[in-house]
Amino acid sequence: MGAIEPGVEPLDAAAAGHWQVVFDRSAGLFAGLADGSRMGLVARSALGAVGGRHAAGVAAMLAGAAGPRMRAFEAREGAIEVRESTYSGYARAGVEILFAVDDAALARMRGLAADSVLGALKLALRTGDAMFYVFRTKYELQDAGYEDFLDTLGLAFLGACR
Amino acid sequence: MTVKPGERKLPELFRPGRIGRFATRNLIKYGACCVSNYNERDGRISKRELARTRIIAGTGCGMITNQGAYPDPLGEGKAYFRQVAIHDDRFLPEFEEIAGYIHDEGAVAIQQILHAGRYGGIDLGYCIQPSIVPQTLPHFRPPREMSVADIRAVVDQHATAAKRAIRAGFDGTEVTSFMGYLLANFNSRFTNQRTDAYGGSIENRGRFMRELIDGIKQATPDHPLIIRLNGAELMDRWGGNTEDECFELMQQAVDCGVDMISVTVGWQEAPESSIGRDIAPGHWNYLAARAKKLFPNTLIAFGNRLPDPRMANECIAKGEFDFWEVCRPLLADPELVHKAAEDRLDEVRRCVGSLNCLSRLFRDLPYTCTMNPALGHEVEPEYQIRPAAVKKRILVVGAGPAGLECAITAAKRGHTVVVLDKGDRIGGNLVAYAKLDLARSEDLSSIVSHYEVMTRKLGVEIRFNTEATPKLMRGLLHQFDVAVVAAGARIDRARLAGVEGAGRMLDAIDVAHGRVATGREVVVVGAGKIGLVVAESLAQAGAKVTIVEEDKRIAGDVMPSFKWRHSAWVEELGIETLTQTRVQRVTASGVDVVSEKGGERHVPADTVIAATPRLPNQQLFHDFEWMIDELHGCGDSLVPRGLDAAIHEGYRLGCRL
Ligand SMILES: Cc1cc2nc3c(=O)[nH]c(=O)nc-3n(C[C@H](O)[C@H](O)[C@H](O)COP(=O)(O)O)c2cc1C
Ligand code: SF4
Repeated sequence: MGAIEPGVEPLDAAAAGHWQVVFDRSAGLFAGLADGSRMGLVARSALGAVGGRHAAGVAAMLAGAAGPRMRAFEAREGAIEVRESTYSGYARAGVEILFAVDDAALARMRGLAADSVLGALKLALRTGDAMFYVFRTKYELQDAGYEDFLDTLGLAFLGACR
Repeated sequence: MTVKPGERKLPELFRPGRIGRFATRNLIKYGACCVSNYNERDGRISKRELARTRIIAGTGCGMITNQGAYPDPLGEGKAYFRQVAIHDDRFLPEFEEIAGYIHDEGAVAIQQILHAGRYGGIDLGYCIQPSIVPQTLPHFRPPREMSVADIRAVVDQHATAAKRAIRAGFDGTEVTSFMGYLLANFNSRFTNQRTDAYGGSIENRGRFMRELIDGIKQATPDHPLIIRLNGAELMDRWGGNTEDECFELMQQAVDCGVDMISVTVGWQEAPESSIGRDIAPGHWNYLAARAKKLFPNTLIAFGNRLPDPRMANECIAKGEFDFWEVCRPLLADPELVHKAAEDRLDEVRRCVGSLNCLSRLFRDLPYTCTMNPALGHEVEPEYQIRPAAVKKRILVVGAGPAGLECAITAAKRGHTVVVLDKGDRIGGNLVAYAKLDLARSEDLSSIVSHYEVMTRKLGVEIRFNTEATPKLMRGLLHQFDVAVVAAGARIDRARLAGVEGAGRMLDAIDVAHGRVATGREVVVVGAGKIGLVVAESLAQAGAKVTIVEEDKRIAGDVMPSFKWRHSAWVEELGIETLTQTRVQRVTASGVDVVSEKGGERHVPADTVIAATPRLPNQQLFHDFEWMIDELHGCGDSLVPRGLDAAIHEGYRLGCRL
């Protein structure tokens, strides 16, 4: 696998293939997902989700600078197809769910066997090494068939004071 | 005034206090814990809410904070489906009534103004925030960025709402950033990524707060203003404020002249617990102590996950904070302060941190409390403990939570109650689960202790080692008017009929009670709450544990707000989970399983435990049918569920026997 360029989710064929295997192995979780449902994954550093840097990132994007690359996971006939895309801001991301993962966590995931990657993503979400944004309401996500996947990741499907 | 015996034991807590020009009779503040979802959809306070606030007013606290009301007519600040509004004079009469109840009980009345910001706009298609930072919890609405004009309007709305509250008769007001509301959104580096005067540096991020304080202070100059601020957001790993930054923001509030800071912990979306059962009481006290040390001249209120008045008394004595701010403990037992004053703390029904209350709010349902079945039903006679018109002799079968709740409720009404149990102590299976519980064993065992104390005080007779059978019943004929079947449920072994070697499996309930020994390599069949509790405790004790579950997911019968906790434990303890998988065969060396896709596998094990769904113990309904005048049932023996249903049904039945 290629070296990780800081801030960019590596998009070489090997990495894409790796994610494809990850989703194929867990196909059961996505069998009910409506066709066209899309999730995105970007390197968190590129997103500018780190406190104080977001605005500069948005300004750069609006000024026409190329956005960071995004790996898109799209539902087709009960399976997930891994595609490459460009992340151009929250409003235009064209995804229902966006994962923004730290470089180190991304590198860790790439080094894991496909069976362990979703577990690692779950752990990264718990430890704060990955962020998670939703662009649809819970009912829309439920209707689209996301509940199983989100539950597997240990994400509270409802608001949760805990 | 005579000093009550408990007041002498907790002298700090029961010392008179002061906020601004208002004297308080003790140092206990009822925290704004009253977003109840009992009100009208337009924000008008309902009769049900008024009845509830009457109970709150009577809790004996020196200061009472009324529920957070949203201040804007559009409802951008509205966080909950039936939250109270304070944006119009038409809502005044009910606020006046509530202020009256609080004053009638001799307490200082505070009205909280709650603009939910990121968590608001519950009836709208959006929420407003300082910057566009999308949601991480799908319950909430997509964000819109506030313009400077929007900010000014919101400050004005708060000031007007505060004025309205004072006109209604409240003594002071409170604004809140609890759990990530608008004020917190401006203060936070995570949600405030503006580049204008309201964003960037901590000075700029705090500008909204300072303007809010100034606005309210100018609108209500003679009345105290309290601000709730996070001592820790628990959002720092996501780019939120560090604890140090939280305290810098508090400094800004102090410099603006707030009268009290209420220190809170956590955001809704924080990746860790703040007030759940897995947090030990007193865990966050250090945040209050730090605030008190930094701001000795400002009143500090604190209480998050501090349920014990004795601990609160000690903290005040040590100068860690000035007012004990209580919320859930007073939902669980509205008599807590009175019991403390009367030295009857052993009778308190403790908040067990189950978070049933908040979980329901996020389902747009009225809140209820695991420990207090009457909560929210204050106007309904069916939920009141009133003297029985006909005094009866009642036999309760089963000394678990359902049976005991029914027994003590009926005894309080004047009935004579005898409880039978085949075991040698009270509590039923709860005793076993409490022992194994990884969150906080003491919380669950406090329920058992409560029943021990109350059955003793109320003279409920308990006959141990006595199994209720038709034969026994024939011997008791005509000695009782009523029988209540509260015999619980058992693991449904019939579900395993098709499994070869099923006889080798141990029963999860026997394992939980420690009645059978387990080995080093364990397979637990069934990942509902019983299976999980058993699996987690065995893994914690060093066994290698695998869970096999037919369903797609684990924790299917666990309360929504606690599912994540089990998933996290399963992961942390290295428990392997095989979902959508069935057991085919149990052998001396382990189990053969098959996945839904047909993949077969042998899982080595020296112990295999059946934790499949439960079957209600209902035989006695048939056995006793012609033996007794009235026959009733409650709890798991009707339908296996859990603690909430057991306590609530036991109580409701006890109220109407
Ligand atoms: C049902 C419920 C409703 C609440 N409503 C509010 C509220 O309106 N405003 C607020 O600032 N905090 C609210 N809280 C938070 C509490 O005031 C308190 O900070 C929190 O429950 C922790 O304290 P405790 O451990 O004493 O319960 C609420 C909590 C609960 C459980
Ligand atoms: S529902 Fe649970 S957490 Fe909430 S007040 Fe009652 S016992 Fe405490």
